[in-house]
Amino acid sequence: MTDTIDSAQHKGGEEMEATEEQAKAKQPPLWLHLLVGVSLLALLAATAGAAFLPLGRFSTLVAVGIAVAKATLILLYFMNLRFGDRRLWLVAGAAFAWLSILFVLSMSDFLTRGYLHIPGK
Amino acid sequence: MSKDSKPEIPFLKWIGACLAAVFGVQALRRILRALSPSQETTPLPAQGAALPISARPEKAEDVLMPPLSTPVEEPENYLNTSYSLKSWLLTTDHKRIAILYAFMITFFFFVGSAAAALIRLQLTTPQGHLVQQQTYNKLFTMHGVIMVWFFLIPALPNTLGNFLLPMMIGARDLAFPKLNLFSWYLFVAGGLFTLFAILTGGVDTGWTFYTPLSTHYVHTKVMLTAAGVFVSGFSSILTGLNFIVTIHRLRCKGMTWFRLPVFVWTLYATSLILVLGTPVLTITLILMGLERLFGIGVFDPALGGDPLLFQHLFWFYSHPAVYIMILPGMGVVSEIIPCFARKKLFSYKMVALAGMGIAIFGFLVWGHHMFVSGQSMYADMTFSLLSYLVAIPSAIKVFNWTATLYKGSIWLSAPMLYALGFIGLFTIGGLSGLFLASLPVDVAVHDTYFVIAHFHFIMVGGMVTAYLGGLHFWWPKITGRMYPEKLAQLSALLIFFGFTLTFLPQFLLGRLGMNRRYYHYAPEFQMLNVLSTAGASILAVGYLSPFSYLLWSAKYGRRVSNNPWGATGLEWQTASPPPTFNFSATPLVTQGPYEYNPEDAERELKRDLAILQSDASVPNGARFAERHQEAQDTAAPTTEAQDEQKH
Amino acid sequence: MSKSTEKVVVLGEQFDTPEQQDAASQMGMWVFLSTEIMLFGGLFLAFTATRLAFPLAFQLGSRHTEFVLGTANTAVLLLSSLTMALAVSASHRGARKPLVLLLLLTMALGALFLGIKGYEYYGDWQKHLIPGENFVWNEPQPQHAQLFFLFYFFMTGLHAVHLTVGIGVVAFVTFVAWRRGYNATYNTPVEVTGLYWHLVDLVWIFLYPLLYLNGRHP
Repeated sequence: MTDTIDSAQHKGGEEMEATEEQAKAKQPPLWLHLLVGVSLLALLAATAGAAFLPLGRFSTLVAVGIAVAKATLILLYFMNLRFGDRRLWLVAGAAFAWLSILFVLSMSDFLTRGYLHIPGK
Repeated sequence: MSKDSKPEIPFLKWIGACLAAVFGVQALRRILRALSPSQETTPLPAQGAALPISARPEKAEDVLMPPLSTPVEEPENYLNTSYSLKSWLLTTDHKRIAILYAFMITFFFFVGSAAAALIRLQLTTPQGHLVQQQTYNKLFTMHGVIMVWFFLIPALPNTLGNFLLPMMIGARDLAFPKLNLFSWYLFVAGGLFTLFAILTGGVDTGWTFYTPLSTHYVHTKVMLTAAGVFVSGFSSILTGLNFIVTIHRLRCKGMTWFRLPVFVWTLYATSLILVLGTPVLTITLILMGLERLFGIGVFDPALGGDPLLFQHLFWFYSHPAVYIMILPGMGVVSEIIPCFARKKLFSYKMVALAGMGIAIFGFLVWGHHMFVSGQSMYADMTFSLLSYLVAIPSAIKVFNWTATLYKGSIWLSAPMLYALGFIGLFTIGGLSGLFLASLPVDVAVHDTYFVIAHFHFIMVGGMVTAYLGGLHFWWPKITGRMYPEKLAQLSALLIFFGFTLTFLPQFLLGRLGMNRRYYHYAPEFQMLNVLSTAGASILAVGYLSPFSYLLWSAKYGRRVSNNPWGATGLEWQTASPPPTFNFSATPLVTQGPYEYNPEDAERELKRDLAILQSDASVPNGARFAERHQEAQDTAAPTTEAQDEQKH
Repeated sequence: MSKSTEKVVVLGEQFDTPEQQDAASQMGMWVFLSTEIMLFGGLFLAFTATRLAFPLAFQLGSRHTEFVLGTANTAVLLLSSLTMALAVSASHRGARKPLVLLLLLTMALGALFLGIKGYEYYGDWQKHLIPGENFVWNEPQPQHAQLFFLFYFFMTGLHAVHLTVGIGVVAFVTFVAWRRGYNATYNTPVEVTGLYWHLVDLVWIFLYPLLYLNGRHP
C-alpha cells in the first residue's frame, strides 16, 4: 500500500492525468481471451476429476487450489487487472487481504479450541 | 413477570422528555433572540458577544470592517441558490446532503440521549424506581443501537466529511453525487425502521444482538431493528465507496497524497473500514434473521451451530466500527490544533499514516470482546497481544498533537478548547483500553462499568467532543456566520466537566465490581451512581447549549469573512458559505496543508493591536486593544521571552 | 474529444474529463466488488468453521448434491464469463453488432444457469433435503447434515440472487448498446457490468468445489 502512495507522491498531480489516459486500458487480444476460456474449462475438468481421486485430506486443498487458479485467471484477464490501472490492484488486493485477516484470526480460535482440555476454552 | 406487562408507559415518558427538550430549546431560542444585539444597527465594538477579548482577529480589516447597517445582497451560494423543499430533498450537492445528514443525526442524538437520561435517572437509586426491568433492557438497547448506528458511525463522516472532503481536495463534488443522496435516503429508511421498532415495543437484546438470545429467547422487535441496522449499513457502504473513489480520483492539481489534510486521511481510513467491515455485518444480520425467522440456523447450538461464530463475525465489523467513530474525530483535532497553535502539524506524515495504521490494526483485535465467552485460550492470547498494537498509532497521534502545541502561538478559542478536551479524554479512554486488552484484568472487569466508562471516554469524550469542535471550527464556513464565542467556550468547559463527572465514577464502579446492564445494584454503589447522574445532567445542559446557540447563530450570528480563523486549507480559500460547486476556479496546490508560522502570527497580532490603539475612528478600539493585550500577556509570556532570547 | 464522444458521454459536473469519469466509475465498481467479496467472505468463513466442526456430515451432505448438474452449471457460468469478456473487448473496438450479440449470449447463459439451478432445487426438494420439519436423512448426523444444507441453499441462493441482478443489468446494457448508446471511447457501463458479472462467476468458482466436490472419492 505504501508503495502506491509513495509513487503517487513523487509524481504529484501530473501522475493522475498520465494514468487517466492509460485508464482506457488496452484489452487482452482475442486469442488470449479464448486461451483463458479454454484453460478455465480445462481446470474445471481437472478439479472435477481430482475429486474422485483418493487424495484424502489433500482433496480439499487441491480443489481450493484449482479454484484459486481459476479465480486468478479471471481476475487478471477477464477483469483486466493485468493491463488495467494499477490502483485497482490496491482495491482488489485490499479485499483479499482483509478476507485473509478474517479467516486467519477466526481460525486461531476454531482450530485451537479444546487443546487445553478445559471446558469452555 | 406481571411487572413486565406494560412497557409502553415509560416510553411515553421519554417521548415526553423529547418534547420537553424541544420546547425548552424553542424557549431558549426565543430568549437568545431577545438578548441578541440586533445586527442591523449596533455599532461594532458594542457586540460584546461577537468580539470577545480572546477572539483574535486575523487581520485588522476584520475588526475595522464597518457594521452591516443594511442587509447586503449575498453572492449566490449553496444555501441561497434555491429554497424549495424539493431542492433540498433532491439535491446532489454534497454540502446540502451534509446538512440533511446533520438534521437526522442531531435528531437521533437527542433520541439516544433521552434513553441515556432515563438510564441515569433509574440508576440514582439502588432499587431503580423509575422503570421495570424489561423496560430498562429496552432502554439500554435503544441507547446503544441509536447511538452506535445512527449517530456515532455516520456523524462525522457523513456531515463534516461530506461537507468538507470535496472542498479539502479541491473538487467540485464527490465522485458519485446521486449515490450520496441515495445513501442519505437509505440512512433515513434504516432510521425509520429502527424508530418504528422502538415505538412499537422496543427490543431488549443489547445493541450486539448476541445469538441465541436474539434468535430464540426474546420476543421483542429484533427483526425490525436488525432490518434498520441492515439498511443503514448499505448507506455506510455507499458513503465509504464514494469517499474512497473521490480521494483517489478527484484531487485537484498538485494535491498529492502527502499534501492531503489529515482529516482527509482519516476519512480515507474510515472509508476503508466502512467498505471492508460493513458487508460482514450485513451477512451476519442476514444469517441471524434467517435463524430467527425459520427457527433453524447456523448459529443454533441445537443443531450443533456455534454462537461464537456469530460473535466473531459481529465483532469483525463492530470492533473496527469504533475506529469509524474515532478516526474522523482525530482528523478534526489534527485540523484544529495547528490552526489555533499557528504551527505546522508536528510530524504530519506520521500522523497521516498512523490513521491508516489504526484502521488496519483495528481489524486484528476483535477477539478481545470474547475473552470470557469461551473462545480458545490461544485465540485469547493472540488477540490480547494484537490489541496492544493499536496503542502505537494512537500514541503517535497524541504525542504529535502535543508536540504541535509546543512553542505555538496558542489561541484558546472554542474549537481549540474542544480539541484540547479531546486529547485529554481520548488519552484516558485509550489507556483504560490497554487495561482491557490485558487478559487477567479483562476477565476481572468484563461486563462491568469499567468497560462502559472506557468506551464512553472514547466515544463521547473523544468523538462527540471532536464533532462539536469541528462543528464550531467549520461553522463560519457552513453558515457564513459566527457563533457566540463566549457562550461556546463556556459550553466546551461545561461539557468537559459534565462528562468527567459522569464517567470517571463509572471507572471506580467497574473496579468495585458493579455489573453493566442491570436495572438495580447493591446499595454501596449508590454514591458514585448519584455523582454520575449529576454529571449527566450537567452534560445535558452542555449539549443543549451549543444546539441552541448554533441554530440561533445560523440566522442571527455575525457575518464573517471567508477565512475568519486565518486557517490554511483549501476549504478556507473559497467563499463562506461556499458556492454550489465550491470554487470559482479549480485551485492549484503548491504546498502542504499546515503552512502556519507562529512567529509571524505573533508579529501580526502586535501590528493589528497597534493599529487598533492608534486609530481613533474606531470607537473603543483602544480599550479593546488593551484588553486584548492583557489577555495575551497573561496567556503567552513565555513564547515572547523565548523569541527574544533567540534573536 | 471526438464529436462522437460528446454525443453520448454525459460528463458529471464534478469531473474534468471523460477519462477521469470512466476511471472513477471503474474504481467505484471495484470498491463495490470488494464489499461483495467481504459479504461472501463472511459466509465462507461460517461455512468453513462449521465444516471443520462436522467434517463427516459435510462430506455426506456433499455427496447428496447433484455432481453432474453442478459441473455443467460451472461450465455454463465460465462460458458466460468468456462471452462477457469478449463483449467488453468488442465495446472497446466500437463494434456494435458483436457487442449486442455477445451480451445476449451472456444473458442466455446466465438464464440457462438459473434454469439448471432451479431444476436442481426441485430435485433437492423431492429428496427432502430442505432443512426444517420435512428434512429426511437416513445417514449419520442428521442435525449436522441439516447445517450443511442450510449453507448449501443459502449460499447458492444468495449467488442466484446476484446472478439475477446481473442478468437484469446486462439486459439494460444490451438495450442501450442496441440503441447505439456506446462507442469506442465511451463504454464505461459495459465495462463495469462486466466486472460485476465476473465477480458473480468468481463466487461460484469457490462454491462449486466446496459444496459439490467434497467427499466424492471413495
